[in-house]
Amino acid sequence: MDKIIYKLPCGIRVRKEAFGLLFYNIKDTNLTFVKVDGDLIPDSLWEKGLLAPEGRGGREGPKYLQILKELVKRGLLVETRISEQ
Amino acid sequence: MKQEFLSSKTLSAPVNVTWEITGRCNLNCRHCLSAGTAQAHAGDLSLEQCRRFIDHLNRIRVFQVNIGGGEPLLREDLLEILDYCHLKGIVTCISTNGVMLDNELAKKLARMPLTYVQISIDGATPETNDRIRGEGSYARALQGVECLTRQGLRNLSINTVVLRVNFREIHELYRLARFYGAKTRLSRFRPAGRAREAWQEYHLTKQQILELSAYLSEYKDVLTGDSFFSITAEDRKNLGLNMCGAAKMTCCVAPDGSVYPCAFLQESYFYAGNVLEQPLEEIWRRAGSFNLLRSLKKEACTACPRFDLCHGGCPAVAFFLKQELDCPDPECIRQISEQE
Ligand code: SF4
Ligand code: SF4
Repeated sequence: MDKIIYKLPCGIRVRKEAFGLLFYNIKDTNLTFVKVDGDLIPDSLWEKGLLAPEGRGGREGPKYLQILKELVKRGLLVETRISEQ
Repeated sequence: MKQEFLSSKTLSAPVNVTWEITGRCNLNCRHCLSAGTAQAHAGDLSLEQCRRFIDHLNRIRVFQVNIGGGEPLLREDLLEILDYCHLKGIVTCISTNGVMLDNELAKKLARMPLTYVQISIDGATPETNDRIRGEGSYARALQGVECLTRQGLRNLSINTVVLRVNFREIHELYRLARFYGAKTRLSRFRPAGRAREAWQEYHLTKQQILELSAYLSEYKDVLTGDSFFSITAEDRKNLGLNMCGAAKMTCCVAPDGSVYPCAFLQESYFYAGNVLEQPLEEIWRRAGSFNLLRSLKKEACTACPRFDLCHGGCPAVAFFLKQELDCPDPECIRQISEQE
């Protein structure tokens, strides 16, 4: 079975701020401010540069997935499939 | 969008830190910001202290360090400092006069993908440049540019402080940078440090400010950092930060570890602490001068039609020219247009 994970693209750094997420691109030093509830995003994104989206149910689930898709669309995250052994 | 976030909330830490790693310099430029400040004569941090500071920058997730001085290449351990920043994933941008650059050093810098280099040249001819930066400095800086280009450094820019006396050479400098595959960066002349003595002679005329504004609209590939948002037109709005970043996105660490909101605000009034005594994260959150800058309300600006583009301009220029912080930038396009 494949499992989806989200990773920071090469050269993109991120940190959590009161307004949401602050991304930095080392290739052009540009910043991107993303207004979002930063608490929805697991710490593994700033700590390890990746996150696995499972385990978020209830009302937050769809909102959380929507945020991830939006970040992928803006080139701030990449979606990857890994095979679960 | 970023202005909205920065105006309403304090970031957890600076995004980039201007770090003057030495007060020593091998030139004696007439418009130098650093010369004449107390910090220029204090000792530099040791390599071990630098490493500990970089560890802290990494912990609080500072993305970029702008390394300046004095002349940073005078530090024999500069490459070690750069390597250590890169090891932690921190991008470095070195601002140098370029005169010490040779092939060997250029080769080492070109192998550092996280390094940007800015070389200062203040005239398109040796006559103009050397009158400002000292005899022989044009040829040596250009040689530095050539070494870096030859070694294939990708992120190179030529930085020029725009002055009354080099204004007519700006476009020639742009062509020079293009010839070397470098970017042009134009910086504002601000009356801080020794530049105060040269202010009358060097500051731009009203006509030059208006022409510069038009020039920047035409040449959007010219980088300006936070220098000219108080004079540029709507069409450059998204090309950078349209507000002062001091204490909101950035701060300055002097050679001895003293912290100020900005390199141009290194006055005792703005002293915020010292990284040898207190973590930068704490200074960032608590310093009175930082909170003062964050809460500045420029009443005279709020009704200005350009407020969205400018947010009141540069407080450092206001401080030095008007001895006030909460007044409009004295050289903003609106203020100069109102002068007869
Ligand atoms: S005080 Fe002026 S020079 Fe300093 S960060 Fe603000 S706009 Fe830039
Ligand atoms: S009056 Fe204030 S907001 Fe308007 S251009 Fe001048 S500094 Fe900027």
